[in-house]
Amino acid sequence: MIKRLIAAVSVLLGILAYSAFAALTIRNESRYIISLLDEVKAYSENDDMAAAEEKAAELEKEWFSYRSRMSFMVREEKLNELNVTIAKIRPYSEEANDELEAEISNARRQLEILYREELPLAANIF
Amino acid sequence: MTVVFIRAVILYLLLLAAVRFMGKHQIGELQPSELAVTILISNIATLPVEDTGMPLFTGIIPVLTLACLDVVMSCIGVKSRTVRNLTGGKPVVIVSNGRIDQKKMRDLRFTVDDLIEAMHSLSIFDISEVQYAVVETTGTISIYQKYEYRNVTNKDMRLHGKSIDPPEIIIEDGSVIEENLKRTGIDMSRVNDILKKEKTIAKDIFLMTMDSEGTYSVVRKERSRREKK
Repeated sequence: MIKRLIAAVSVLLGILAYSAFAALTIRNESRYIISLLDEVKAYSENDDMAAAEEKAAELEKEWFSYRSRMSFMVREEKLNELNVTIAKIRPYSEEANDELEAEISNARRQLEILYREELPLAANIF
Repeated sequence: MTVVFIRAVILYLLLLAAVRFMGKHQIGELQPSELAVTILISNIATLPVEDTGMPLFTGIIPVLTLACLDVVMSCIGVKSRTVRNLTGGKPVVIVSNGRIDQKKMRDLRFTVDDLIEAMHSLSIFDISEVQYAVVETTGTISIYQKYEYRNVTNKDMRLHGKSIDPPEIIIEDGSVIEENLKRTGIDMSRVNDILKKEKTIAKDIFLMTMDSEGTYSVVRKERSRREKK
């Protein structure tokens, strides 16, 4: 009985540790993507479209890597939704499209919601 | 993931409370905590299977959480009667000294039909034969008959005999089960002697049972019987 109890408590502690790790990973990774989005936005606001385009390319590359890591922890629909928004950023920066800033804000908001949903807050639990 | 973990804990406690609230009649053969876990796990386990967009961990974590919680709760229950009573409830006596406690039956929402049904399952057809009946935590009714209606035992008849463990399976489908052999305290040479006496080998045996006194029975494989012909 004691062995089983120790195993059960160990698994529960393992799950708690993994949950905390997952929440932190999602937060940190999302914040990194947000920082790239902010950089694209800053270059765009300063009319430095070449730098914005370069940053958007880096953002796209990082996004694919982020997406594969997050697929273990986040529902696919949420990632697909974000994918649609982020996929527009590079072409918009190349075209200097007016919609660029709106799409960046949209992606930023979605990423913020994504990691906030993982926090053990009353609003998320109930 | 933390959200999934906390939700699983909350749902476990909620379902446990709900099953306890529903009462023994709803439970059947399972303990309330076991039923709560069974209902939750069977539902949760199907979700990530059906929904491939859901990360597998989202399904694994609540299932592991529930199973581990159940183990922890049952271990605490072994040590603490209070916890055991909270999670599993207490057995309730509904017939004592041959008198039906109608209030207790009403509280449990048990009908006369339930009691009669339990009596019938034990081949008792007259309520006057019942001395004592208790509703167990699993919801089943256990009945103890009055002295004059109980079966006569060897002790009543003053018959003397030795109490030994029932026969164990020694050979199953041609394979010797060493663990059972050890438990009966019989060595392999005794089994070989029997096989020699029966003019067969272990490989041709479908089933062989033996008790610690050495009383055995052998069922040969049908294939070997045909081969003999």
